[in-house]
Amino acid sequence: MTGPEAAGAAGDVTLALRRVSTSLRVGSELRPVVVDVDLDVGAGEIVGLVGESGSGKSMTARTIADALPPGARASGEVLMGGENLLAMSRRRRRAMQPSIGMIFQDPRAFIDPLWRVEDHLTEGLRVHKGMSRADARARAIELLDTVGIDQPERRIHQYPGEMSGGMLQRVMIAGALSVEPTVLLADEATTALDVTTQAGIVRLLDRLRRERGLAVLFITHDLALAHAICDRVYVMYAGRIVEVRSGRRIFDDPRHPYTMGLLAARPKVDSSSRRLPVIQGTPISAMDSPAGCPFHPRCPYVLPECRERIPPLVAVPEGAARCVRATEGSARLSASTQVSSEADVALAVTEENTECS
Amino acid sequence: MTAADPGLDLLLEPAEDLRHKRYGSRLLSGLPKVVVAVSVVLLVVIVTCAIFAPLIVPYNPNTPDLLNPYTGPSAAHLFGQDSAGRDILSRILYGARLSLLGPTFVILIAFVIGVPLGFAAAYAGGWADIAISRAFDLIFAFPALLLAIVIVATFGTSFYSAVFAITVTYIPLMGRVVRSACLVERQKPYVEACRLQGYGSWRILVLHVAPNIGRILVSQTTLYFAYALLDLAALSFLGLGAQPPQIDWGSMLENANQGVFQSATGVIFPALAIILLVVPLNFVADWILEYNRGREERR
Repeated sequence: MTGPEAAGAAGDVTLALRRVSTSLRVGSELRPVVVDVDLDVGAGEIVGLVGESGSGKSMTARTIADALPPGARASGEVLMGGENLLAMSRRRRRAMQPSIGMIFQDPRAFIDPLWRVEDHLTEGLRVHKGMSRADARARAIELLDTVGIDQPERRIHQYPGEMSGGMLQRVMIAGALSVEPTVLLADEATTALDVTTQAGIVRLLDRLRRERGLAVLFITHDLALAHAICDRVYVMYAGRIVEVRSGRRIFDDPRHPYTMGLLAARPKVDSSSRRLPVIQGTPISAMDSPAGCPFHPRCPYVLPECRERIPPLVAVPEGAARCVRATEGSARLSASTQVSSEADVALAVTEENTECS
Repeated sequence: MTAADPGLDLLLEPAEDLRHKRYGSRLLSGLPKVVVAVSVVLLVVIVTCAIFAPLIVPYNPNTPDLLNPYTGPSAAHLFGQDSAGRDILSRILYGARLSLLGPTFVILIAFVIGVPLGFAAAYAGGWADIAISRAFDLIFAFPALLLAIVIVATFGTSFYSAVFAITVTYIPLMGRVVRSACLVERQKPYVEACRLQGYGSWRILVLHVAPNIGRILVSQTTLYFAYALLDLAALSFLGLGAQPPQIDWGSMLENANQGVFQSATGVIFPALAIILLVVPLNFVADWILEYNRGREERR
C-alpha cells in the first residue's frame, strides 16, 4: 500500500519501513508484536508514532535501531539510503549504527552513572570518529550549547547525579547527536518530564530537525503532543498502523474510531465535574488480536464485516485510515451509534455515556 | 528555561540539601559515622603495627624465658608471657604480619583468578557459563575448611600451603559475586544504550560494566578478607598453618590452648586481636556498600 506516501511532502525520505513485521520469542513460539508496518520519515520531518502501551510502537523503534530482545524476528524492509537494514550483515549493520540515534524516556537509567557528562559525550566521537580527547571535548561543549545547556564548560565536569531530569534528557540528546545521525528515534522522550521541561525538549527537537535536517520519529502516547509538533502522525493499535494523518488532521478530523477514542479520552479544561471518557475494554497487542479488525471488540461503530477481515488503509483527506467506515467522518459515525446493537460494549466517545458519577 | 535565574537557584538549593540530609542520614543511621571512623583507625593502627613490628616490639618474640611460663600481665610484660615465657605483646605485634599477609595473598590470587572467570561466565553464557558455574558449585559442595585441610594434608603443612588451600575455596566466592553482579548490571538500560551507540562488547565490559560493579566488588572483597583471615587462623589453630618459628594469631591460640587454665592471657589477647581486625573490616565493608548506595540514591 502506498496511501501515506502522499502526505510525505517534506523532502526525500530518510527512513522508510516497508511491510515490517516483528515477532518476539515467547517460550518456544514466535508471537507477532508489529504487523505489516509501512512508515516514512523524511529529512527535517518530525513524525509521530502514537499508541497505547503494548501497541508495538516501541518495538517498531527497536526494530529500526536493531535493539530487539534475543530471539526476536523481524521481516520486511527498513530502508535507509536505499539499503535494507534488516538484510545487512552484522558487520555492515553495526557500521550503520551511528546514523541512527535513539533517546529514551528515562535518561537517568540510560546514562552510565559513573561517567561524567564529558566522558559520555566524547565516547561516541572517540570511538566512531577517531577524535582526539581535546577535539572531542571541544565538540562536546559545542553540543551542550546546541541542546541549550547553560555553562557547558562547567556542566561537562558533572556527573549525571548532579543534574536534573530535563537537563539529563538534553545531555542524552547531545550524546545521540554527537555522531551526527540522520535519524533520531525518540522513544517517549518527554513522557517522564514535567510540562515546562517537556515543552523545552520538544522545542529543541523541532529546532534540530530544522537546522540539521534530522529525521525524527517521535514515539508517544500523547496524541495532543504529537498533533502539536508532528508533520505526520501514525496511530498504532495491536501492532498495526490504523491511521496516518497530517498533524493537523489527526486532531480535527480523526477517521479511525480508535483515534477518536484516544482524542475523546483526553481530560478537558472546561468540563471538570465529568468523569473522563474512556475506551471500553483493554488494549490488546498484536499477539492476541481477534480475527478481523483488531479494534472491533471495542469499537462502537462495528459492522458485521469488521469481524471478517482486516480492512485495508483507506485514503482520507491528508492520509489514510484502516477502517471500512473511514470515509464517513466522526460526526456521522457518532450519529449512527444508537443504531448499533452493541451499544453496551460501546466506546464512550460521546459524553452522554460517561455521566455515571 | 529558568536555570540561569539565580533567584530560582536559591529557592531550589535548600530543598536539595534537605533531600540529601534525609536520605543520607537515614542510610547511614544503621551505621553511625563514629563506628566507621573508629574501625578505620583501628585497621590503620593494626596495619602500621604489622609493618613496623621489628622496630616497636619490646622483646624478641621467639626468645623463650623458660623460668616464667604462663605469667600474667606485668609492667615488664604488658600482655603476660606464654607457655615458653615468650612475650605475648611482641608475639601479637609480630603475628599481625602473617595474619595480614595470609588473607592478602588469598584475596589477591582469588581476585585475579575468580574475577575474570566470573566475567567470562556472565558474558560468554551458554556452555562456558555452565562449565565455570558447575566448577564453582563443585568446590562449594565441600565444606571450605574441610577442603582446605585435605589440600594441606596433600601438600604438607606450611603457611603457604594453607594460603593456597584457602585460596582455592575463595576463587568461586569471588567468581560468583562477579558473575551475578555482572548479569544484573548488563540488564541495565545504560548498557543497552551503549550497545545502541555501536560500542564493542569489550569496551562496554571494561569501561562501563566493570566500574559499576566495582563498588559491590570492593565491599565483598573487604568482607572476604575478614573471612579468609578467620579461615587461616582456624587452619593455624589446627596446626596446619604457620609453623614455628613463624607466628600468626591462629598458631598463638593453638599454643596457648594447652595452658589456658594456667593463664588465660595467651588465649585472650590473640583472640582479641582477631576480633579487633575482623569486626572493623565488617563495618568498613558495610559502609562501602551503604555509602555507595547513598550516592546512587542521590544520582
